[in-house]
Amino acid sequence: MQAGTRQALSSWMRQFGLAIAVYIAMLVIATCALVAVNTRPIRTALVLAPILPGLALIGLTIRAYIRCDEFIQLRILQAAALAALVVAAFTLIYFFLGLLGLPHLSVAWISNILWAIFMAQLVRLMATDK
Amino acid sequence: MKNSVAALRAGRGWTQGDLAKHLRVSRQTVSAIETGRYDPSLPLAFLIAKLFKQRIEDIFDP
Repeated sequence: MQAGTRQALSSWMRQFGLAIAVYIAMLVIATCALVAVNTRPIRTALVLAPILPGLALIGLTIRAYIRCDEFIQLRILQAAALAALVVAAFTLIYFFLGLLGLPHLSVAWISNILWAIFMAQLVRLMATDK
Repeated sequence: MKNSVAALRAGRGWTQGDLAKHLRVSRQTVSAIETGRYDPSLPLAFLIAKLFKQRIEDIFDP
């Protein structure tokens, strides 16, 4: 992989990991705030706080995409499309399974599934570069 | 699309990495073009033709 492209993907992986760590920390704080904080404005701010690192994940991904060459951009788009299709199929199936009594599933989990599928493909892309 | 990029590259004694460096793309991109798995964009095809001092239609055979 060309230095610029590899650097873009490696840098994205590092920053993505950091953003995930911040997101999880904010998520824990938000969950605790839901129970422990009663002051309305502070509670609202803390509960909404995980949105920022969540948006950062999207921004970092777009930036890495722009910095890659055309073939890698195509592979990134294919990874995103496959992740979206798997999630579309999953949500469709789960909707009907939900009607049959399966427990309610938070959309946060759907987002996690999408990111996991997307990331797995990009890690595979980097791993096959020998 | 068939192409003679691999032959032209070998003719210069370059590795895929060397060609990638000249074209400012990833080695994976060069590999994908050479094996016909990926058809380059017009700007990249022009760059390849210019680098090897050939016409695009002499390198790429649709």
